[in-house]
Amino acid sequence: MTAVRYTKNILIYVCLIILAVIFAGPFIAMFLVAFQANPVTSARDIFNLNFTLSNFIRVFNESRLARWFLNSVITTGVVTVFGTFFSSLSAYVMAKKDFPGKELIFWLFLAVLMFPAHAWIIPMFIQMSRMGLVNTYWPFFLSGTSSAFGIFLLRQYIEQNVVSDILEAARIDGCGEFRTYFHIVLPTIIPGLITLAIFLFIQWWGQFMFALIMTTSGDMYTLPVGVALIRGVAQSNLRFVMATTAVAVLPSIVVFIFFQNYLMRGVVMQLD
Amino acid sequence: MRKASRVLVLTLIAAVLLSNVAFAKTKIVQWSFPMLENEMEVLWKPFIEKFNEIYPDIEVEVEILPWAGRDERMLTAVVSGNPPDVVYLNEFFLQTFASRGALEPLNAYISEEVLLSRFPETLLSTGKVGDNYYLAPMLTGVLGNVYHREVLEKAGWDINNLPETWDEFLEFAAHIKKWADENGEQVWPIAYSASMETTLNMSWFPILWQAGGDIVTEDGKKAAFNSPEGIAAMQFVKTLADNGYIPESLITSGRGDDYFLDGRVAMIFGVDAAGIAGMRERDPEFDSYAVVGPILKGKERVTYTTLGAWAIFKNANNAEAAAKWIEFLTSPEINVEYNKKTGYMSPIIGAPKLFADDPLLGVLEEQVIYGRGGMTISQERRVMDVLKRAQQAIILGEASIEDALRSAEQEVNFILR
Repeated sequence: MTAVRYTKNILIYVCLIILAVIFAGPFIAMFLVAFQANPVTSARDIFNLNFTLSNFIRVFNESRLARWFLNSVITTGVVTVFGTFFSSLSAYVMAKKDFPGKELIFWLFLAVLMFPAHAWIIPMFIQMSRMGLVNTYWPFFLSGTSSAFGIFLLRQYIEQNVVSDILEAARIDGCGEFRTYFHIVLPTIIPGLITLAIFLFIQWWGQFMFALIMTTSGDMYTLPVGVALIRGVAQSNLRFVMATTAVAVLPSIVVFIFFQNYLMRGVVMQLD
Repeated sequence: MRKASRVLVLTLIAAVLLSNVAFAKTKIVQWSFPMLENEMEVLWKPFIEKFNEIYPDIEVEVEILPWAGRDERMLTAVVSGNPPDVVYLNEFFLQTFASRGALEPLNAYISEEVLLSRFPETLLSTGKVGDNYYLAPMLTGVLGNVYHREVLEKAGWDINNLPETWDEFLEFAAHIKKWADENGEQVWPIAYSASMETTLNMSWFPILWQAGGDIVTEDGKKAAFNSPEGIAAMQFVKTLADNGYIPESLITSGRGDDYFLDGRVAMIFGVDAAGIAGMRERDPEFDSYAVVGPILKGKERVTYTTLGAWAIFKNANNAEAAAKWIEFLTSPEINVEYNKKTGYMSPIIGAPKLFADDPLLGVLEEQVIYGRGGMTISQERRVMDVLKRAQQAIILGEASIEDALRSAEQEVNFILR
């Protein structure tokens, strides 16, 4: 029996290792090429590493990568923080308040998730353009800080984790709506907020089409647009492209590594 | 006294306001797509400075957008009524925008005589819809075949006797394959990419044209590839694949550059100047073994020529200023400088050979005479996707040539209806 279990475990681990290599392989190759001093013309050149930082230095010196990085940090940072906060407010109302049409409004929120970006990007651009907000951070802030997905996710979380009796008790003790929210609801849903924040971060850090449509000035590009720009012009210089891409994906990888438990929890919450 | 000072102040204000109006610059915005690293400094700033010496009252702002997502970006701008004044377009975008009435006819601002004196009529007419010219050609790039000298030497094929026709190429391919098989070499005769990512302009379309066929009818309303010529062109590709002349992985993904740089193919099909520049950058020794061979001939000797051009969008802030900028960019001096820096060929009549000293690009430049543009219909990409799938199905043996082309014809006719 033990032998069977061992064999089973070994097989499972072998499968997991193979899967890990398949999924992590492209990332490892990317970093190896980014740190490679010699030209990379074939797969074997990737592993024959002659370490250098010059590709990164060149990327920062010859492109506006630092500026694009800053733009990504600002847009993603604001969207992550405020998107999470505003979603939690709406989700709290949707989960714990009763008012006419609540379900309809919630389903309308969900309906927004069904629309592909291509369906709303042009009206959104027209709106932003008429308000004179193209080539500013505002389209990101206005669009990103209201998240239908966030409301859906946190509503589930609040329904499961915030006990209505405690809210009732707080009200009896004289807490107003905002005080109840800040002192009782918010501390209870912190894991849910972190999960949503990670989702929003990953979504907006890699957001290409929206950023492409809303910006035309090189100074306002975010990293995904900047990386696409560099790929277009330097696609034959693999080391240069990979160094750029490595800088762009590194924050997402770090977030994933440190917060993967919260991500898993988020997936489970959606299934619930 | 008080009244006099008031009049003086008012006069001064009026003078300042009027001078602002009088000296206000007309601003035009151009969208282009990256051709060079550090392009703004190398290319556009010097051009704008020169332009402003002639037109100091026109301010030009060049915005360089990524190639990725350019269709969506341009369409959004057009649909929202907020496009740039000047835009870089390839010929296959012509119908997309001209059919929507989104482009200004160039001949309304630049006389037809000037246009015809600058560009060959065949090239200029690629950008013509009805009686109007919409595209001012800026660059051309022809697609050639590059052979690997070292592979040919090892295989015992004379580099000075490169194939000129399909039949000669099949002989060549058989020779290389036989040598590779007998010597246990992992070498294939040709790198031909049939992957879904590779544009057919750089793969099957030149072969179809060489067979004497075409993709769609002249009026662009029906498929034309399901013809004896189309079948012959597909048969040629299938023969290459069935005989193992093409590395199997290239049927479904990737391009052939890696195979060529590794010396694992004798020839790479469909390489333009940018492709050569890319491989040169990857391997500094590239020129020592790369040789540009003849354009192959089936019934005809023909290859694909890309056309990059400038156009003016309908809602341009100042179409006249935009036209002056385009006229400046397509002037022989500026155009030649642009193409020299970007590595493309000049479409200007009588332009000096830019790459006469270059053993590879020089040959490609001579082959421009065999070039022809791709489809200019607005459904170009959709039609191409249908044919990419058909080509893959045929090569992988999932459908016969006749069935695949018949089915693709129905689909394309539906798209073009």
